[in-house]
Amino acid sequence: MNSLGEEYDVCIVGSGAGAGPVAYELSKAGKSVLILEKGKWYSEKDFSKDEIKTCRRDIYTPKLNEEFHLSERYSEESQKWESKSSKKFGPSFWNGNCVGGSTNFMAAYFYRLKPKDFRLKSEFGEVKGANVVDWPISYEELEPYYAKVESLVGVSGRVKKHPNLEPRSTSDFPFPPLAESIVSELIDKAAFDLGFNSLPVSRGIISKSLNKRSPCYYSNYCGSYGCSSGAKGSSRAALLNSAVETGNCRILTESQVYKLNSDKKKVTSISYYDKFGNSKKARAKQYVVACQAIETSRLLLNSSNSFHPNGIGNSSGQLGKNLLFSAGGSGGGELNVKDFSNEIAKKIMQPGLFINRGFQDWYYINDKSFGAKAKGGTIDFLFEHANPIRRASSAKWEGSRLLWGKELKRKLEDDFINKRHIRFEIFNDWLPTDNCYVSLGEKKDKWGSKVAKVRLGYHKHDLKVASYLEKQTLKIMEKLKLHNVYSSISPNPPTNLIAGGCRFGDNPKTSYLDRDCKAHFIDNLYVTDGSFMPTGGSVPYTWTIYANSFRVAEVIKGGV
Amino acid sequence: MMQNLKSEIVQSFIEGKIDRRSFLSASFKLFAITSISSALGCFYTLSQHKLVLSQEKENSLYHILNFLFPKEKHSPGIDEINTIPYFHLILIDQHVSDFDKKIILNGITWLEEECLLEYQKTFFNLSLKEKEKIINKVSKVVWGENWIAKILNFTFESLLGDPAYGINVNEIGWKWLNHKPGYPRAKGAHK
Repeated sequence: MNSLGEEYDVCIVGSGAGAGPVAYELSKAGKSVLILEKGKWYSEKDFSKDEIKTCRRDIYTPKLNEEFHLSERYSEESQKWESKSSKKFGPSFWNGNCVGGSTNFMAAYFYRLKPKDFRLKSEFGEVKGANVVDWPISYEELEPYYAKVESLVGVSGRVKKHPNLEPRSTSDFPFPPLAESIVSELIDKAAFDLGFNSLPVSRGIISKSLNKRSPCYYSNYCGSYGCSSGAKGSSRAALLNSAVETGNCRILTESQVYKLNSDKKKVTSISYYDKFGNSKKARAKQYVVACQAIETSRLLLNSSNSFHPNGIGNSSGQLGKNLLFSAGGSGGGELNVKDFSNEIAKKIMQPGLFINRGFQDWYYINDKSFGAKAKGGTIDFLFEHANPIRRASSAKWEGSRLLWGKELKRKLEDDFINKRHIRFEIFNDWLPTDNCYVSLGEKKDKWGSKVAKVRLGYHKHDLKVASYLEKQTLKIMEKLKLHNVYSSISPNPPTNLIAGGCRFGDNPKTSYLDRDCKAHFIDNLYVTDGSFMPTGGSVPYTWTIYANSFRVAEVIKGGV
Repeated sequence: MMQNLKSEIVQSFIEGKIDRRSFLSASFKLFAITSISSALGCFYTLSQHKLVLSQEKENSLYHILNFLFPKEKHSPGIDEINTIPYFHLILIDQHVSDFDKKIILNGITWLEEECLLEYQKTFFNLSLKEKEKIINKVSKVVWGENWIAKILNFTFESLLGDPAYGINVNEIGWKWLNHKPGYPRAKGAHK
């Protein structure tokens, strides 16, 4: 029995994309669900377009002097792995700690994986120095759940046939595409002239009402911000509100889980600190951990005991290993209104509308200049964030030179009044390697738990693929006649695209989870965030996490 | 903290450390801080705090920012966007790291030390040409570049953040740069 005097059917740690589908499906099926979420519970009315609060302070994330990460990078100079704390200069991997997790703040660029992503090793062979494996399930097994996410979470878009389009069980998206800027047309024209396929990008944002959620109102401040209409398909807006309405789902906020207690085969209870700092326990028949890849591995590693000295269920030693990010890079350029007629210039500067254009012509690379056939990736085009403070902060640089005084002011005027910044982002596989993993640091957070130490090694092949995609992207940028084009391919991981650490597979010696995302050696422990992914595909992960969580929810439902 | 600051200003005036103009200016800033603090409600911890902007440092910062972000006929300066009162609040904002606060404060000290070393004068007493030279010099070293970038970023917050924070008064920064804010707007600082 727990402090609430109940034993639940399911207890879930976290409330983001991996948690929402499980809570939704089980509570709808009449099962009792407890969610332990470390953050607060915000609703649409709490969100505003306040850049200082949302993007420049730690309102939705923990204070870094209290809860931090250690990260290790290889220094060519010292020939050693050097550690940095996110307290000082090191990257922070927090992306939103509140009910709904980081799905509240995502940009919601929704892509499915493709069939070949599920069998990367079989299709493209081994890559030396990388731990590439096939998934234990196929695209066909996950496809119905991708479709389910389209209608339940809400995905807007338009299917356009192209050579690399993945198979679909429905002919088109249930929600029409969001309104587009004239810049989308400019990209379409450039693509047509180059013989490329410009694709409409689907978004996890609804374009018409769904239940109590209002459609997108084109605020011009989307990614990084909580949505004030509920249009964005956050786990909170799309799933958890409905789950709570059943009366079967309870969410305990400001509840920091610090350990899963277990015997040899089962989790027996979960220990957490409540909002007053009191240590509490909760019990359930099944336990689901879904608090984003790094924190999930950390919690499971911190849950060691005499039965599981290296972390709960970790007799394979796979826990925390093969962490994934998204490889690639980004860049951009400027459209200058002076290059266009007044009418077109006005349309270019119109705020709120989306570009929503992407390219997957090079999702698979079959080009002798590259080498052997290989997995490629996705290129996305988008407007740069409207955030004016961030924009001014960028404008104060002229190359590597800081500007000030009148020179700075003229630059700000030119940048804000005459220019619209277009960005691109490249997504390709971050190959799993022995040098990218989560372990426990010696330092502890404010709760007394060891912090995550993240080794950030990368495979050089990732950069080769990204550079190939960059070349194709720059052809499009050139055709668009953008000014001040810049581009960067980097081994630095994006801190918001994280997966792996608990890869699933059929072999308990080489994977932590089985094909149903249950821990091989623990009978009642599931992991449903992005941790399960053995390879990441070349797209953002959220849609796949949602889909897989719906798939696993059916398994759990059958077990309780 | 407000009371301490007020006493400090009055004491400096009585002891002749600041002239009448500076006294009035400081009093105005104190009023602005108090007004902003009131608008912010209980969010900021207005209790004892070691990382505060002393009167001496505030004077330095004021002249430095006036140089880095000068007022012009058609564009706002730091007085119109409440930058100095905003820096006071940054230093007591629990959501700004102590690390950043130390960078802000140490940079002021180190720049003044550079001025004394190079010209035997404070930054305020330098000619425009000397100011340009010294800022150019420190911008070429790591601490200086980081510090200038940091204080400019916070200045941009006061220029382009929501007026609910007591900054960007009458949306003067948004109007200058033809920026359209998003809705709903902030209801107060961090609210």
